[in-house]
Amino acid sequence: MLTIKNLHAEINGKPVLNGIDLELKPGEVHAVMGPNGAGKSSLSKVIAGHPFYEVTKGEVEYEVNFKKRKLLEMEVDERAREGVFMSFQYPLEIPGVSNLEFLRTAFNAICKHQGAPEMDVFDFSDFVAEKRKMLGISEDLLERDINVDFSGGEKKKNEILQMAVLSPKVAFLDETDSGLDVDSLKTIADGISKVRAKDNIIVLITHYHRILAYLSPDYVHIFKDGKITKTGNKDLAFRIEQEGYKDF
Amino acid sequence: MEIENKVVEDVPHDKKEASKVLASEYQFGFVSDVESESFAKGLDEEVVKKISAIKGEPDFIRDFRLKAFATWKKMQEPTWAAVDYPPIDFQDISYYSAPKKRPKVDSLEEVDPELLRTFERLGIPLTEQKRLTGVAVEAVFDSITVGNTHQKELEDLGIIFCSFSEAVKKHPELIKKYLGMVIPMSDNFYAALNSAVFSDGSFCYIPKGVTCPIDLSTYFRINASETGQFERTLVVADEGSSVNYLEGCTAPMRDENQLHAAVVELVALEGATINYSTVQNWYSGDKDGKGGIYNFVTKRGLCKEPNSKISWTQVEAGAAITWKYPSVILRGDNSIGEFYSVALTNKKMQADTGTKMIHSGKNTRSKIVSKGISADDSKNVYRGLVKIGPGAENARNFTQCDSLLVKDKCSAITYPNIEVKNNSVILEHEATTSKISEEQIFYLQSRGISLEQGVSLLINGFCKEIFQKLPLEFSVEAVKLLELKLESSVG
Amino acid sequence: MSKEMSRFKQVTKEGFYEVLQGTDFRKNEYWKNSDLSFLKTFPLENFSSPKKMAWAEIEKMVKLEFKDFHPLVFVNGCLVEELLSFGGDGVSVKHFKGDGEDVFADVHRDFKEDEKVKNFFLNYNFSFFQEGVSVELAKNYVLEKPILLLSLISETKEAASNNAVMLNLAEGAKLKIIEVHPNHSGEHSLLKNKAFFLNLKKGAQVKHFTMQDESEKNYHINFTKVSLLEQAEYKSYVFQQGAKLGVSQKKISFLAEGGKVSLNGLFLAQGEQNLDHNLEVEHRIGNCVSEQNYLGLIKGNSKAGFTGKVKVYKNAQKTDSSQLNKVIVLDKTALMKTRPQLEIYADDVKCGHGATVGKLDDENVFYLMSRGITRNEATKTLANAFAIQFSNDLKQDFPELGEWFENELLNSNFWDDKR
Repeated sequence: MLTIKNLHAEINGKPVLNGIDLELKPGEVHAVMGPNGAGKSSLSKVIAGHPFYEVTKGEVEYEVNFKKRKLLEMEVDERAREGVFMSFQYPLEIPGVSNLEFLRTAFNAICKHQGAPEMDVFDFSDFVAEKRKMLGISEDLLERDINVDFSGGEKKKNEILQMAVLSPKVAFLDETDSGLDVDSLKTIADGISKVRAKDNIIVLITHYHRILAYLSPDYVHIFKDGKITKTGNKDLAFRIEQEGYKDF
Repeated sequence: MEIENKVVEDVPHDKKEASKVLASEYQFGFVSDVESESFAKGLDEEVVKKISAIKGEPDFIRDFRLKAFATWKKMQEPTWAAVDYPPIDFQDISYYSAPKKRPKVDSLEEVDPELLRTFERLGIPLTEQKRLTGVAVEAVFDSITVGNTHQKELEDLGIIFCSFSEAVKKHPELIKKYLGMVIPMSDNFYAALNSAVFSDGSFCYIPKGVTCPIDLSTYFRINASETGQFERTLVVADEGSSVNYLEGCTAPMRDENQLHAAVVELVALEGATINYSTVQNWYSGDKDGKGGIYNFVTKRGLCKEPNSKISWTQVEAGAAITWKYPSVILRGDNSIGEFYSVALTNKKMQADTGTKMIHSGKNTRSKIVSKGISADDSKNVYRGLVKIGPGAENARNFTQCDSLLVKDKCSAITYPNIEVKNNSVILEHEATTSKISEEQIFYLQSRGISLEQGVSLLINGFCKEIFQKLPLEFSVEAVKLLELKLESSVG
Repeated sequence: MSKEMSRFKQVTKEGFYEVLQGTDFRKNEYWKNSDLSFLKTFPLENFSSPKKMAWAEIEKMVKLEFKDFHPLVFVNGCLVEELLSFGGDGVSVKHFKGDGEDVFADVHRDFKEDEKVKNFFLNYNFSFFQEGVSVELAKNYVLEKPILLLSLISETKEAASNNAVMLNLAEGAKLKIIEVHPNHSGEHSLLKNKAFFLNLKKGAQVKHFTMQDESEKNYHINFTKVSLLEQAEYKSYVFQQGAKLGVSQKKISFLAEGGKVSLNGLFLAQGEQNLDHNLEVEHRIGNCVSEQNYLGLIKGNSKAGFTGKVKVYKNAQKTDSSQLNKVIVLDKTALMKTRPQLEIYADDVKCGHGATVGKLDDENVFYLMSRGITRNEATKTLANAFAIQFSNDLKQDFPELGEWFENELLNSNFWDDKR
């Protein structure tokens, strides 16, 4: 369970979150919508611990394995190892580091943290192969350097692959659906549904209801000026699609 | 001239432990308790004669030394490198230091046990277990060769791998023929100095058609204080032969600077291949720049005959100041020269390093991949020259030099020089500069990877091409070394 | 001249002679690629007699196919005032004849005393200052027509000319300058030493084209220093194909954020020519963009040099700099020396350089030959296509030149087989 209380944050002295309250329970799917600059991406970055953001007020309580912890006090990698995941809107390119090596290092870091045995190269390759096929990712993409010369769609799929491999407790997916064609969107949505489980939380940050048609959120939150201005069920998303944000 | 006998004091035990805990501290900084025999400080013709006499050298070596000394006296210390250090008083250095108990080369049992323990601490067991790993080791301790494994096995193949002094005695004809062939004594100030006072080193000869079945390795260690180390390495690969040669260096932590002026000459005859790898981890001084080795080294290979190949791979992670340009003269047609380098500087280190590829033969090829990593207050300079002469028809060169900056007080400087006097060649040069960005670190961390692991992934990614060129065992050592060095600089 | 000034001038002169007599230029890093041995015997004094010239006379000497410009004509190092066609509101043009050094001395003072050898020609220019011009543009003033700086020689004895041009642009001002050094077939060697000082205030823009086509006996030294404030832009094109020794130097200093500089060049060296390019870009402050793009073709016994230095100062974060030097060597006897130099003291920067030196792409030559074209012809076609890249870029910024430069380039004797 993730509880966000009165969260304020800024970047370069400019406020981006102005008091967010949100409670996320296991098994739920939340959608976050809103115009550009409303603070949607900022929320996911603050939760993940992006270094450019400064939290000025509020707190985030994270309950995992029956332990309550203050998320904002944890280091970025510790949050990840405790099951917090964020898919990047613009995934970074990291030349020189192979995608597979990266995945394995991350996976094993989490295994080690949870006291589970680490996987060797061979077992891990088999393990990833399964996830990779599910997302229609070619083997060659794993051999290449992280996101280097990937197409936009490949980058997004690679993010979901990371999620599938790391199986987080809370996943913030930042505009995972933008810039995708219909087929890719369906593959990614399918991938997300497969990772979805009774005990995890998925937060979809999106502009469109397209992906929501596949994933059917329990709640839809509308963001404006760094605040939640309305919360409803998935019908709200369809109303917005037709009417726009001006009334919210 | 007096010969000083002295016992080097040991570092207190608890101090060593403390330095181990601080992971990024220099882990080879211990001083060995080995009785050594050193000359008093100072250099003149008598000292040169004395070195020669102690070693019982034939006249031609003695004359070589004296001629070199005369040349050196007329030369000026080079000042063009982008490094700063107080003037060196060449009279304030002892030019000879040897473990007092002179071990015989073929019986390790006779080696001072403390010396053997030193090597074990360095991770260079000269004993049986090392034989199984298939590396023949020649270890140079304060300029004197102390042990050599695998001698018998190599002898059966006609491979000569021994200390330089021994080679002078047993194979004078080879030494006479090749000594100074690639690096003439007048080549530069430090090469001249080395030629005058070199104490020992390694000699390696691979006969015609022989592929050396094991990697040959030399470890250098400076132990005694206020001595300079002046070793000389000569590797000759005869027609159609090939050899992998590895070199490692460490030194104790001392407050004063120590001079290391080595000369390495490689000669590849027709169709021969020499791969020479170095992992250099001399003590680099403390965080305020106190102490550390001055590493002023001349390394050059000559692809003397057609179809030969010389490849330099270096991981330079130590020394207070590095001045080093392993080069290849591509004289034989179709010969190949390569230079793969990772130079890491941190704290107050200064490195001015790079390579020269001199093309004079037809269809010669060279490739340069240089990766510079600078951290803290350090200065990292790549200086290179690719020269293509009118006779080098269809020569090719590809150069890539990349710099990575960690923190903002360091500097990365690139001075490549390209000279082409030929209309049938292709030469390409690329350089980039980048930093380890906060965003990249965040991306890795957001997937559960720790800061240290993330940095190490990025560094290894940056240097991958070079590490792949090193023999596996060495590559593992190199990776660890860089991680250790950077741990304190990141975060 | 103020007392301080005359003293400064004296010091400069002494420094100049000291270097002249005591320095082996061949051993100096900065002048490594320029053969300055002629200095030993060359008379360093300036042309003595100014010469008046009517435009009709000039037109006979230089073939210009473009019109509409503000002429700024120097004959034997002396400005022909009668031909000046601009001035008035927003533009002020001043002519200095040996008495205006104070204006230029301010700029000279920037140059360090310990860089006497490096600033040799600058000190020479200052010590032997002949005539100079300064052009000032008021805030937001846009000079519509380009300035045409013509530098002509009509003398028939060995002599030198030392001129300086200063361009001061206030905020938002813009101008273009076309600098032409045409070919005169005189019998004597001449030394031309030109210095440009450009000060660009916030948002000011200068586009600068230099065409160096001096006769093959001449020595040509051309120095440009540019200082840029916020968002100022400087774009230059340098074409060198003339002179026995042609040296083009540019020193750029970014003094405030947001500046942009683009330095382009093309050189064609042949015969016994020695052409050298020396660029130095100082990113003293962050968020500025610089690019260098120099192309060259060399043949015969010629020697060419390219040194491109980029220095990124500490704290000059987010600097974006790139450099490219591509040279085609057409003969075994020609020598190219390329020295890209990066000095970086800040960590968050994007700096790269690339250089290629070598022959034309074999496959392209083969392609043309497979269509029946001879090797010679194919080589010429491809070399031509290589050089045209420069002319195409130039056209984007100097459309007023029309086809003039491209024709000059295509008709260059560089493409003749004999040379």
